[in-house]
Amino acid sequence: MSLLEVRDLHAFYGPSQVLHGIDIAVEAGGAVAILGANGAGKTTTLRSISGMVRTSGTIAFDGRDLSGLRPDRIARLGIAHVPQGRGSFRTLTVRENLMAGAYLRRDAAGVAGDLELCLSLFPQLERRIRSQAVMLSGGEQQMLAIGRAIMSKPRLLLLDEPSLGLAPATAQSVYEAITRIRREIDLTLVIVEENASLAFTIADAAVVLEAGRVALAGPRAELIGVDEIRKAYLGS
Amino acid sequence: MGQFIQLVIDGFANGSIYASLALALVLVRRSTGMINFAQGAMGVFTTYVALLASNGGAIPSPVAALAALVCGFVVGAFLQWGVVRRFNVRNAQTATVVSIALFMLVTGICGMAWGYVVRDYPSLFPNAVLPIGPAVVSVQSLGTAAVVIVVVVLLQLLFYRTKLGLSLRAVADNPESSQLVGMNVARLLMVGWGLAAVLGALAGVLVAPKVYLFPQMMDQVLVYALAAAILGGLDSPIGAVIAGWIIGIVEALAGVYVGIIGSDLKIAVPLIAIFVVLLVRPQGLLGRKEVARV
Repeated sequence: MSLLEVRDLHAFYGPSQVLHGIDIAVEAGGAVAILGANGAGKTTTLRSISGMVRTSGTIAFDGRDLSGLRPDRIARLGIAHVPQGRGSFRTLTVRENLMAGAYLRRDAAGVAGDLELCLSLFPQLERRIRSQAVMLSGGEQQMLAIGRAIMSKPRLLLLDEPSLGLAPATAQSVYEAITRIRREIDLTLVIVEENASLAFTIADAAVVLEAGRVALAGPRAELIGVDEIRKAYLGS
Repeated sequence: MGQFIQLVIDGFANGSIYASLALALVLVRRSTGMINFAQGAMGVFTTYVALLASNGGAIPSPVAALAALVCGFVVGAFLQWGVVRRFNVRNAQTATVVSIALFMLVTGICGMAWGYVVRDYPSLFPNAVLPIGPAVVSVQSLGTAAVVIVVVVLLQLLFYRTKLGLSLRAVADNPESSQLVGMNVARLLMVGWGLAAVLGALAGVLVAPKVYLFPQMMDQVLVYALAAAILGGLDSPIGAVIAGWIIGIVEALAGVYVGIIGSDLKIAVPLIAIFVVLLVRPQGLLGRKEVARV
């Protein structure tokens, strides 16, 4: 059975419907990319999983239905969400941001160990450990957001456009960091991206959304050959 | 010279009172991001509760004060849950309107319940004075200053050494990210209001013996406390206390040495302070400067 199973998901912002029945399955240990143009519903899909928008349909995590749960309850189940725009605690220091990520954990030794891990994965953060998050560059804040998520020791990590607004080299290094993290810890990933070639450096499968519906879905090897994907998202 | 020293001591004593309410303002700002204009009125309400609890003097005043603090937590948490969370108080204008409405509501409730007569309220401290060189200082003033200092230390420890403090600051900074790391935002906002109301209650029982207890007792103190909070930097407990003392001392000195102010226009001091700080150094003495990076 899949770790995350989204079936016939509809989502609404007030009266307007954004998702019109989408299905996504993510195997434990897998990495699925959600691709699509602006406004296709990628971010809304992640926000639905985290309980931040009104939805209908089913979202099951590890066999448990998430519908009606508050976001903090969903986080408690082991789902970490790196939101679009990074969601830094701007007035908190880098260290405090990371410790806020570990809010639900009671194992002080494990938290200390994961703090070490984060700082070794992101040496830039170690150098700025006492700085307020607002002082960091965009790339550093993205790393901080990923670090914050890692600190919660999640089973499922939702990443919302980690490359957004970053210089290509910086985006590259963020993705390299994610790859390194997956070598260190067991992590199932859902990555929202507009840049498909970056997403495919990690994702083993993808779902392409168009106007709130699934236009295409399949494993990477299959999708990379599809003409529409090449034209629209791979830039060739 | 003797007069000067006495004025500084008196100003310091008043300043401690301003600081006690300013600390409540800073706490609520720190943990919920808003300024609560009802903070003083809530402190008046809990002081009436303390007066009730003292049962005409049968119960010792520190115990009655403790009852006020507990009541403060409940009142603060309840008002947040029952009223404040129903509005989008992250918008500064909404927050101002809501808290001013609460201010009038709570003052009105006090007036209805206990009337607009002025009542005596017993001091928490012995009624004695100590000589300091050519001047004297009351035990009550020293006690108030000591309480304020202890509260600042506790607040610093709370904010910077505890998980609760970290989560209160996180929620004020970014509620959405706080939810995503598993914080119960609604409950933490209630705790923030509750704790601030405890400090407001403390301010109430410290102020009442000096000015007598009546529903608008805190109105004037609130102006001074706001000035202290702004001068100190809205999110700095230490800043609020130092600024409270500065304002108290400047007020006392200006009342005597600045002809145009005299004893009638002392209220101008905090207003001028607010004006100057906002113009020259909006982040206050010890506040963090708002940084925007684009």
